[in-house]
Amino acid sequence: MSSARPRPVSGDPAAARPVLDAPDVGRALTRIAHEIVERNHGADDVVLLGIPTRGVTLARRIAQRVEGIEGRPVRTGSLDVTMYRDDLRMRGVRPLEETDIPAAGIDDSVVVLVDDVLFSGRTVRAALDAMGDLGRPRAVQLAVLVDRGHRELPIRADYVGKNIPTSLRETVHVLLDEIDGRDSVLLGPAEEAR
Amino acid sequence: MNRHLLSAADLNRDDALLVLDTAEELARLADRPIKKLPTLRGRTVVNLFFEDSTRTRTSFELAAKRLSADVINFSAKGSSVSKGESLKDTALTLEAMGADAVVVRHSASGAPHRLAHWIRGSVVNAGDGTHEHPTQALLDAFTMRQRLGRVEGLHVTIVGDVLHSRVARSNVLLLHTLGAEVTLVAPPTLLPVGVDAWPCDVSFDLDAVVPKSDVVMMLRVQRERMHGGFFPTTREYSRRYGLDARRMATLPDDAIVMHPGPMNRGVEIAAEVADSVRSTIVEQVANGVSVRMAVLYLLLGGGMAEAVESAA
Amino acid sequence: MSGQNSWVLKGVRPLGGEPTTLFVDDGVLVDAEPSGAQSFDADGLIALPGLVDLHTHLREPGREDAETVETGTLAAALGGFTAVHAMANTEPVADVAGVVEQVWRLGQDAGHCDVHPVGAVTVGLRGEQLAELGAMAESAARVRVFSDDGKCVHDPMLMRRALEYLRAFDGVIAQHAQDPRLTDGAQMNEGVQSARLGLVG
Repeated sequence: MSSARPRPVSGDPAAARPVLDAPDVGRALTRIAHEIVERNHGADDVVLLGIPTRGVTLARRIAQRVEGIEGRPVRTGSLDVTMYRDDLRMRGVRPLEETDIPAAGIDDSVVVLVDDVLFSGRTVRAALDAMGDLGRPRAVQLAVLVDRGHRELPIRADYVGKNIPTSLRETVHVLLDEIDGRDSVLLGPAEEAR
Repeated sequence: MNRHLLSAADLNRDDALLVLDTAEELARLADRPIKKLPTLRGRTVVNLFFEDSTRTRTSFELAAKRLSADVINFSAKGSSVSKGESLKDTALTLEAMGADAVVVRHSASGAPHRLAHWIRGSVVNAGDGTHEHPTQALLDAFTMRQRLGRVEGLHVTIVGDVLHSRVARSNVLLLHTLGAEVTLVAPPTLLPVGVDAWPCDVSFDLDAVVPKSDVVMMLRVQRERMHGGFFPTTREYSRRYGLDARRMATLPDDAIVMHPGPMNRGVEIAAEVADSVRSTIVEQVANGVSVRMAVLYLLLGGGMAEAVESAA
Repeated sequence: MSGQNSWVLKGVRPLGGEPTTLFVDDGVLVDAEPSGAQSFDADGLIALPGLVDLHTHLREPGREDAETVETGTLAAALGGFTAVHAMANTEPVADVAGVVEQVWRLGQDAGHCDVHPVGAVTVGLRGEQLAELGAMAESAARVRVFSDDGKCVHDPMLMRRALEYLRAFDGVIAQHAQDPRLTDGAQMNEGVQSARLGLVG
């Protein structure tokens, strides 16, 4: 339905400093795929659920790699958490993204939530609530490409592509080829208040 | 989007598409075991119905409840106070109760507009007199998109009592905004003076228009109009302006037949048409809940009068 | 092709103008003499287009003792009328498709001139409820002129609705412009004479 929009890099693009380049992103995802398979003794019970927008793209890439390792496709979908957010009143409403749960559902499976950046943890909290309305997984794990710290909730990732210490004033931009035309993670100065 | 939804004209093209896109995602909720979202928890939605309308009230009530809002049904029928005063008194009461949104149905055109000046919450017009019924138009557009894949470029024919129809007025405005081509067909007695200035075509000849229509929307003939001298007899009305199997057979293959309900079978629509595969009448009811959820979410989900554009 | 209805009209005066000769080929005016035409001495006669009478009473159905479609149209044809409009005050009233079709067919069968039935505006000419104007318009009689004949459609809202309704098929209304409230019991034109005679004006 709704297509992902390129995320604008605010301020002076030159001021945004690359912290991961394309090969780094690819290697991180390959490692995460291996870790998922290793931790779960295969991927038969695993369902990868990406959180829109970039989490969905990352989930698909990880799914390809898992299939390459295991020789079997892994169930993949997307989970929009907009309606479960606790910051709608502060930030205003936003358009909904697609929620696409594999036909078999998520009951008794191991759901791996996939997102691009782990920051306050509120998105993941919303995702856990959303999942509670969809079924009852045996376990939920979290995979992120970047963990930038500053958690506001007791949430941690099971699989991390790269830990990037940041200041609260900085912004982290994940660019992915499918959406943005290239793979990169940029660390930039603070955006204007949004 | 504006803080209120009083008229289909309040929605520009982007607003209207946002409502439809949002409703499309929310419609998928119907397939889930738990059909409820926490989004409007702690918000209060008042259904203020001065006119009986079980189906519209129920639709709004279900929509609000699926978003976890608290719903109060405030039936204000039969008040003896003169209309202007009683409406204002009611508004002040609702204001004191802290209503975040008031969904209002009133027999007087313009009542929601007045209400919007008296309360701080959002006002959603659920049908006012012979003026507008914007959420009906939204659910109709949603149904067209669901069945035909688009609204833009569709030839939509609206047939019947346009003069007294709030559904027709809202549909003409919204469908024009969304790029459809609307033709009104009615006896000249049931077209308002000045209809030539509306963004649509007008015809008196249903047989000429039906074969060119992607959508035919039949309006209800109100019982009280049947004796108002607007047309000679119901028999002549249904023969000239009703949709029967013979006329339906001249529709293009994919065309659909809509009706806002409740129907007068055998008057504006024949039973075999209402029950045919072209008919979307049952879907329209189901879609009404999704569209009203989308409207409530977009009006109330954010802070007061938050701009939708801030989303990314 | 020439036929029975081919003529050479000698000395005729079109619209009362100078005498001339007209050629008629099977009922149609032509420039040259058609073969097999009959010659007719029309000296002193005036040629006119077929006349149309907008207001006749052919009385059928109901008052066949006074007039029938046959007799009325024969008289019309002899008087130079090629079309007559038959008023709606028959018994039953010409307020439904069945009656106007009957009158129209009687005219076709008689064959003297065209009969255009006038449809009633209101049911029974009573001025209360619109007759099925659309059904009459779509009938074989293709009614386009409607009138309550000698009765006035005196309810202004009903008249408005009727006039609006007719737009759908380009109909017209012939109104007997006599307000019943202003002419209650009236016997003659109100004026010096009515005052002197003590008659209601």
